[in-house]
Amino acid sequence: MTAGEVVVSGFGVYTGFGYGADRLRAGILTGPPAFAPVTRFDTTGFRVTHAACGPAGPDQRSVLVECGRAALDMARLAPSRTIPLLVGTKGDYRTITAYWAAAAAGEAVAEDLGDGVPGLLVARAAAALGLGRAVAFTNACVASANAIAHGALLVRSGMADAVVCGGAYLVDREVFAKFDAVRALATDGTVRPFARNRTGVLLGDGVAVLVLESAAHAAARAVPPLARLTGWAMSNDAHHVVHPHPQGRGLAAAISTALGRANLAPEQVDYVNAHGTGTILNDVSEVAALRTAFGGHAARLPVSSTKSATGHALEASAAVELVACLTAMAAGTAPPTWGCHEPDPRCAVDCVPNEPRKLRLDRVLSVNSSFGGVNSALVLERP
Amino acid sequence: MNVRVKTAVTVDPDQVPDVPGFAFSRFGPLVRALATRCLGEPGGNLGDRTALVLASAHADTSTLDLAGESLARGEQQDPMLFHQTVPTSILGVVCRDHGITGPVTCLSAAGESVAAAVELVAVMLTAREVDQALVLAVELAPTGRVSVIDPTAEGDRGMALLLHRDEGRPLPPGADLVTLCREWAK
Repeated sequence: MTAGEVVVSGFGVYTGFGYGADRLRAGILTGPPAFAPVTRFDTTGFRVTHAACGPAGPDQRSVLVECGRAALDMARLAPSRTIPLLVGTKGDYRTITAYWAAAAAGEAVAEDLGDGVPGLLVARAAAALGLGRAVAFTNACVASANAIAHGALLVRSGMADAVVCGGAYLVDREVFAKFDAVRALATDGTVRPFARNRTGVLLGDGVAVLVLESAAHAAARAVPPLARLTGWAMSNDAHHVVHPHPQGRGLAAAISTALGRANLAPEQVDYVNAHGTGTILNDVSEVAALRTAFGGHAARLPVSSTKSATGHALEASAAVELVACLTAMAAGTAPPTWGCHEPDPRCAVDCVPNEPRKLRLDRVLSVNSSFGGVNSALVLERP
Repeated sequence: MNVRVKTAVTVDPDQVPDVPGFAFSRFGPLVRALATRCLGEPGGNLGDRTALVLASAHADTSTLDLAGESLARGEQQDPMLFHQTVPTSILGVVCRDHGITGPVTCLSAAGESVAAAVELVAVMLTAREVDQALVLAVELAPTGRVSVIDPTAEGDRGMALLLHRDEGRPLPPGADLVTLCREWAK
């Protein structure tokens, strides 16, 4: 095993824009956002009808395997049982719908329900990919950040030469109904992070898989790294069941820890990919956290939410957004926050409103937060 | 890897106190009761050198299936179901109770969620990311849906391990953690 620097050597991605980095890059940089009326399932009776997802189609495991193959191919890495698969997912909730629809009809369910168990879904994906140890991280909107952070720790500490990690979520009726019931979904069909006329979040498909490995392991195959993953951290607010800490205490701590691990001063960060859900509680807390962690640099730091284009991919958010950061670094362009035409004065950051910005991105930060006050921060640097 | 067991506990699932806001199943109350049994009454301030890991193959299936059943019947979803189906919600209560500001993880691994959690903690302890970690392992009695997937699933059950890098009894490699915890908790 070769301990040391952690690099990203490959990825595969699927979002509401479709498969691949080209579609994601075009979607987040030039728009329009992927939101449209949902046709995947019946939205009759729901308050909101929009999400960033296609028609009924592939299941979560199939997309995860497809993205895993793309990541391994890009990294030119042969699958092996010694390589773990770490994935943020709650499991495929379509199995819950299938079971209860059959029960309501008085029929036995005909479908395989196993993918409803997160650990089983990831184990099946690992078997299909020829990978080894499979773990599903189920900690909501930071789940894939946790998978990536743990993978990075395994590589940095020399406990693994390479890991395959990421997250998977496809918009489903069970989760859509819950978000709708708590009136969290945007009623105007648009996600407007940091805008005072925001109306909420919208869900979006997201599956992203990344290959992390030691720099030496990649170099031995003559594979050029896409980026270095130099910082990562997780924290908790110790504050509330669902509300983030109003001053963003836990998120600020995660950012500072991740920058410290990367040995970066706040002023060296070129761009932040925000959690940016488009909810007032998150926006205000997140901006407060950025001000605490970045001090005076926060006023000059471009901060945008790609969820304004892709929607919220829940457990997969951090993985999708890390890939979004990779594409932004490669394009030399900070993605905009779409839908922010009326900035909220309580969220005074440079949120790159509505227009992409040409910018050399050498060091970028991606952050996420979830219910229960859990926070994550990941730092990417140009090789 | 250095992993020592500082404390190992179980609780009687039928005797755990209610948790406000977690009304639909015993999952949340069981998680909190295990943490309280292991760490003491709320009010501590463990800080960022303590990690919290919830290991559960299926998570709160009672609430998930309650929501699924009502949706299939065409009923309006109860808004209170939402946060209870998210496993980090009850961990937010535990972190607030004990002032835990370190990493918080929930995981599921096919047939071996507890072992996966201990393995994850061992990595964090060895790398000196944290000094100790509370592992909470909880499964509920199977719903009809879970019985289809796992006919061997048992009733409500939970255990907690406070793992430390330096303090406590060594964790034997390859140990059956469930048996071990039940033995040590006596």
